[in-house]
Amino acid sequence: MFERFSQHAREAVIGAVRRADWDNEDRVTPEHLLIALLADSGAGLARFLGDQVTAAEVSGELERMRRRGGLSDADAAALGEIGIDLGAVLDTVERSLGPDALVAPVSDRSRRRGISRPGRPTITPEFKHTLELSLREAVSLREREMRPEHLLLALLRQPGPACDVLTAHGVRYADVRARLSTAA
Amino acid sequence: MTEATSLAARAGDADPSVGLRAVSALRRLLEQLEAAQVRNARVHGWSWQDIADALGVSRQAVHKKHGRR
Repeated sequence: MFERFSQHAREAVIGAVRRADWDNEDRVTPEHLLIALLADSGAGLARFLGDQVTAAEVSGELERMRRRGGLSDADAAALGEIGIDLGAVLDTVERSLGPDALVAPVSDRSRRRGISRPGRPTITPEFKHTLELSLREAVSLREREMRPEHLLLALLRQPGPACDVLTAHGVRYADVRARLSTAA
Repeated sequence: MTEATSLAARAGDADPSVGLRAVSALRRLLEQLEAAQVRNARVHGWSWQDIADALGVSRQAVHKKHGRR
């Protein structure tokens, strides 16, 4: 699988695993991949996006989303429009159930083994699927190498927080795809 | 539409996209809240039947949804 990855694409995957490790998480998600891609200036993705979105912004929003059980800034704003203060709900819930009450708990497997986290974070099925999608994108664009831009397309096709954050910053699959098609 | 005109349109009539987004967000928030409250009930020693009764659903439904965590 990795033979078709460009150097930067490979580094992005490694960067994603490292990032999850630093954050003491036991799962590597597409969100980690997005952060790693944006943080690596060599990958050129931030430049490609014309600074529509930075690694710091994405990390910030993903952390807020994590605490909210996956609800994005756009979700919080929409709830506000119908009179629900998500921050207030969270504060109340955390006051009675403790901090990070809405964060998904660690997998049962590691809890049963009696350790708080395994030695190294493992990639989620969604992460793997993102890589598969990115290879398909490269093939459909008739490229020999899978590059960070293809990872971006895959992230935009995979429903989830990474896709939500990109969409919230105006990044659209159709636009990116069109740009890559004409460049080829 | 420019941002100014779209904002004006939203203020004027009930924009379905905002309303629907709110419903979707509320549904996901509800799921997270339910999961957190069920976890808490289990920590307090509640049986699946107790939890099901409090939620107004069947024991099977609660166990199937939350039992494997």
